[in-house]
Amino acid sequence: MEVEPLRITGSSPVLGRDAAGAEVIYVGTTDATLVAVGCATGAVRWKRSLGSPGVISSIVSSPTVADDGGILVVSTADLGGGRLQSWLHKVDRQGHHRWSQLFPDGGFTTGAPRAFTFAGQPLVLVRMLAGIRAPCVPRCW
Amino acid sequence: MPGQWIVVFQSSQDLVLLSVFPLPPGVGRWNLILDPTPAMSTDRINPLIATADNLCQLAVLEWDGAKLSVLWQAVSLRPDHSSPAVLSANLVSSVAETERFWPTTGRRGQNVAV
Repeated sequence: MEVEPLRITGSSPVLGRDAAGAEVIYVGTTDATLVAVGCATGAVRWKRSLGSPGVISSIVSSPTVADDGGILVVSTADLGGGRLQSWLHKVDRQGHHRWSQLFPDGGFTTGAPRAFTFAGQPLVLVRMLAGIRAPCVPRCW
Repeated sequence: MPGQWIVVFQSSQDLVLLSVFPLPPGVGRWNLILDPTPAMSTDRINPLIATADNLCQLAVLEWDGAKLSVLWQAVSLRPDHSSPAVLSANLVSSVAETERFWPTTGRRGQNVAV
């Protein structure tokens, strides 16, 4: 099967299942599109654009699959001048966009989210940074 | 394709080219070092969360269902870390850019091996 290659950098594919239980691979692209690929056929099931209008956005980290089968993924926009801004998105396993959450305080990350359930409550964990990256001061630990 | 890596997906019928690496010049952030992904352990009363960043920091936190508490945090000699992992007995590990392995106790941040 010949398909147009996706543009992927650091977004490792993750495995999930569709509503029928079939395996699906999810991966993010450099133009901030979340892509679902069926394992049985290799065919693209759906694509969901998660970019921000007017800015260059990308998905550089891996998605994560929540307990309900939905996909959580971070997109990051380059605002210029060294400023980045990230959003956390949830897309259901049919590819429908559920919600997007702007990181507070101009926060950003190029890392992946981690979904988990605690006391019956679905939660998402993301490590974010705020401000412009600055060199660190090494200290012993 | 000498000098390039390809990412392939093996379906039941064919090999499907998903992506080409490296990407063409000007496409994507080919030299990006990703931020580490947090790790967690839910095999305890309150989940244990290990975080690292590319600004020298490593921390372990606890989630009680309402707030995060910092159990310990440390600054390493090297800025870039891998994603941490929470091992058994609440050991936390991360790899710094020296490729040295830094397992530490999740509770006190003591190095148990270097």
